[in-house]
Amino acid sequence: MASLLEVQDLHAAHEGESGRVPVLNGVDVGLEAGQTLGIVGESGSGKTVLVRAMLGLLRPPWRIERGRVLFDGQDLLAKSEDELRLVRGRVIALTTPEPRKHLNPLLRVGDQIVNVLRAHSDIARGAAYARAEELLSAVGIPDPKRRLASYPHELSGGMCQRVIIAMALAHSTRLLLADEPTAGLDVTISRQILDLMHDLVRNSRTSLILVSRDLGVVAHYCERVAVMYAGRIVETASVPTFFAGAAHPYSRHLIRAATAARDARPLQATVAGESVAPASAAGCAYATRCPVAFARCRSEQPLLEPLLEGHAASCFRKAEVAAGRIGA
Amino acid sequence: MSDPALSPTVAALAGPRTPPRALRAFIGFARKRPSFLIGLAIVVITLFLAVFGPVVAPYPPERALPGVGLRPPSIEHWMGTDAAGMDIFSRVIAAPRIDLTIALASSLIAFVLGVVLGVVSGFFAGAPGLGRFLSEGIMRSADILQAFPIFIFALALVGFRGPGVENVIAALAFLNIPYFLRVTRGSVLQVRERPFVEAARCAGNSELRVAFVHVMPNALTPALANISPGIGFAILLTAALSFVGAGVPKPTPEWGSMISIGAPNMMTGQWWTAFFPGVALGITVLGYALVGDGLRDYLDPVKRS
Repeated sequence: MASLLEVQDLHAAHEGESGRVPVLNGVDVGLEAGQTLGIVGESGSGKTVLVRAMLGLLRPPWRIERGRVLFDGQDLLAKSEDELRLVRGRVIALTTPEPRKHLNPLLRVGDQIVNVLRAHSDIARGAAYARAEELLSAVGIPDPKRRLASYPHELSGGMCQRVIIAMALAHSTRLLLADEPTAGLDVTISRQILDLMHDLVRNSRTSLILVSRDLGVVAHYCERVAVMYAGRIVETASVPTFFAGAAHPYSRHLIRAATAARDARPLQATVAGESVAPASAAGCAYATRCPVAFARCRSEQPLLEPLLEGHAASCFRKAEVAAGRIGA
Repeated sequence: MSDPALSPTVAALAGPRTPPRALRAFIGFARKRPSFLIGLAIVVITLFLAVFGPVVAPYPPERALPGVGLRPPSIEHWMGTDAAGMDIFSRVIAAPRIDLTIALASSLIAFVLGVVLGVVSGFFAGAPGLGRFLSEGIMRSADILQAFPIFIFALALVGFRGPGVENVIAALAFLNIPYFLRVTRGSVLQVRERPFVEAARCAGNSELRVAFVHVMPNALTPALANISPGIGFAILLTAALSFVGAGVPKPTPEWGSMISIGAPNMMTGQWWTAFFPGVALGITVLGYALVGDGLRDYLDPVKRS
């Protein structure tokens, strides 16, 4: 199947007054049409910057230094702002954490949805309101007609996220980027939101990139998983392969941490050491925390290389780790 | 505060906020804020006087009555008379016509131009290319305008175009633009970093639409709060300009010029000549300030409910 999205060697940095801080250090990740991909990683690993970079949303002091984001074979990073505007919200949509902050506090929900609808089509105002009402009921908001006239502060966080999802799916979007859609929501609401998103995406054959810190969420809702660490993708695999034989020591830590929480075992699997600033030194960024690191790891950066078909990891000892021959 | 073009449709479709409801909501809002009601009353009275003041005045406000110079307040002359024998009460209630015209018109012009320029300069500050050039250009122009003394500017304008109300309005509007511009710019610089602005971009809005539909309404508060003091300030400056001969010609009833005419009499004990126009000016400025505060709350949907 042809790739829908192909991110190649993406480098981005924050160039503030305190100097340049690299955040993305050569991200390679791809997605086929109709697929769902989960990107997991801890805070600061560059997940959010990555999805923003894909839509060309990084503004100074952020800077994309290198790389390509191929969507349907076209490099989005080479497009002008006007060309990108035709992509944003229509072909690729983004949902965000903290849904309430992402709604304009002074505009009624209905006006905001209509605004999204009319940004990309010549739909008449009245028809747009009718469509907005449909969208609200599609995302499970009761009494949508009344809710159109609500302001964001009158809605709960879960409702706001539903509105955001409605806006993201207002056009026949081909790729939905969901950046931590359940941050700040409680567990039952999170579940409802994720189920809803999953159903909508599947029914409309939209591809989905779900960014999350929760491996369990990714395992449940995605077909493929990409693990991000210190501004790089360190492993990509299908979800079953990943859980059966993760090939990167960091991935194995994540899996153990997640299952420990599920089985209510005492959490022994915390990752030792601090999250390192990306690319602070030569060698693998994970080497300082890695239990199976050896000399080469500290001097040379392992590349993201395939282990099997559809399974790649950036670790010199990936084969051993995947086979479970060395404890990671 | 929502997009004015969009709201009526929502109201028509959604029901709960049809016009009578909106009016009822406004009344409910006003009821809970006595200071807003007081301000509203003052504003309504001054607006009424601006229209009917000269008509309801007991004496002709611009004619000197023979033989009654500098009379203290009495039954015939509630606020006394000035040195020329003009009835002060008649002049005080006739003055809003000129004072309010100048103050409201100049503040409105300054508000609109200042906010638009402030949004442009704040939204595009630090942006690459043309945006940055525009932003910096606006700020430097404001610096020049503020560095230039208002009185010289007004005198030049009057010298160039002759005395008249419209020249006073133009001078005051120009003077006030930089204030609205700066507060709006500062507020825009904060608002443009808020997540919903990026969300608006994500939805495919053009930069101008993001700036004026999403950023501007959220950045208006400081400029709105600045209107009422601005109106008071404009009335005071009108008086000052009249004093140096660049404002409203002398016999025209105008609080500021009445104060300056009456000031010498206060030294010799005839306090009423400057006191009553001063009180009228103070109450008016207070009224606009109270209404400004209330409107600011009303325009914020979170504080309103």
